[in-house]
Amino acid sequence: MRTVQAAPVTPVEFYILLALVEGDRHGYAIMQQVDADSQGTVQLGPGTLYTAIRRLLEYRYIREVESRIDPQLDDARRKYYRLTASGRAAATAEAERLADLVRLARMKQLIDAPAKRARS
Amino acid sequence: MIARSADNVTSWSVRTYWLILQAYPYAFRREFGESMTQVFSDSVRATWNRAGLAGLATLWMRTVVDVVVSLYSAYVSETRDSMFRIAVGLSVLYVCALAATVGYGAIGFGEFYQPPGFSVFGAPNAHEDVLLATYEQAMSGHFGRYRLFTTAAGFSLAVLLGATAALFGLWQKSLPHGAGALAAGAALTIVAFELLPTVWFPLDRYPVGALWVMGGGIPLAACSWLLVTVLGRFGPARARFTHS
Repeated sequence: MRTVQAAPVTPVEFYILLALVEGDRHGYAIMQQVDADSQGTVQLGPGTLYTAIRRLLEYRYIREVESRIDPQLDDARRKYYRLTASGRAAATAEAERLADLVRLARMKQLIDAPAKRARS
Repeated sequence: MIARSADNVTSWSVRTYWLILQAYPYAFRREFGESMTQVFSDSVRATWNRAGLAGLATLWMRTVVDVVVSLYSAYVSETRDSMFRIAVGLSVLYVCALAATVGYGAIGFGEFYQPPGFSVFGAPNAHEDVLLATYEQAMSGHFGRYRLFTTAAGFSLAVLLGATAALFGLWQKSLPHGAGALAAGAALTIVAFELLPTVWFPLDRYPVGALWVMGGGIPLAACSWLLVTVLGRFGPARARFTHS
């Protein structure tokens, strides 16, 4: 039995977890949210999106909640996904890990502090 | 008019994408195939409305890359499936047998040295009679040890190839998957026997390759593919392979 709680997430999986922090979403809505969050730098295709969703379901970081109609799109039923407590913990841990790395990079003057960068 | 062309483009794209989806592992497309088609359909409609034909072309290029990359991930994540483990094991055996055959052919080079002849793809100094003479010599019993080896190697390779392709097709619950694996394996074998020996040992000096290409390797592989497929799909309960 693999330990699912300790599984680290990839950048794509992290973006998906972030997209689900604000509420349940279906696949296309996740894709649009990731596109918006990354300012267009991460554009997921259906294959990448659902292989990542499958892994997150295996880790139990997300779960499928229901199939329902999105009134903004068409009349087709869509599967919605929800962030679980362990998914939220994994996203938090990943965010803290990245924040620590950024702090380290600033300390080593690899990147500027935000205020200093704004002046230059 | 515009609405109708948008519908046509969406419908054509979605049908094509659905066909491509058939390449994904069975369990994956059963679970996510419908959602993936839906997401792709939404993307096509939005892209067409926003950027027209040029946008759609870009979307398709991105989609092809996405399919190639995610296909690999989807198959890798299936490794826990017992059927896949069997197919992987047989594939490893198949590749080992192929490597051993090619390697033995290299050892046998000294015994089989002949003037340059022809390869299947055609060499400038092609002499069919030289190849045929070498082939006859191999089969005549003069090189009994080598003949026994080529027969056993060819037989094993053919059976392993057919069984692997059939197991892959059964795992995917799809005859085209099995047929595709069989065709790919046969092509790989011919290329290995043809191109590799051409670099060091032309086909006329390399009877194993000649036996495979000209002999019954491919029909034998097809027979073992058919046998395992029929046993797996329609055979008695004990002979059927389990699917998770």
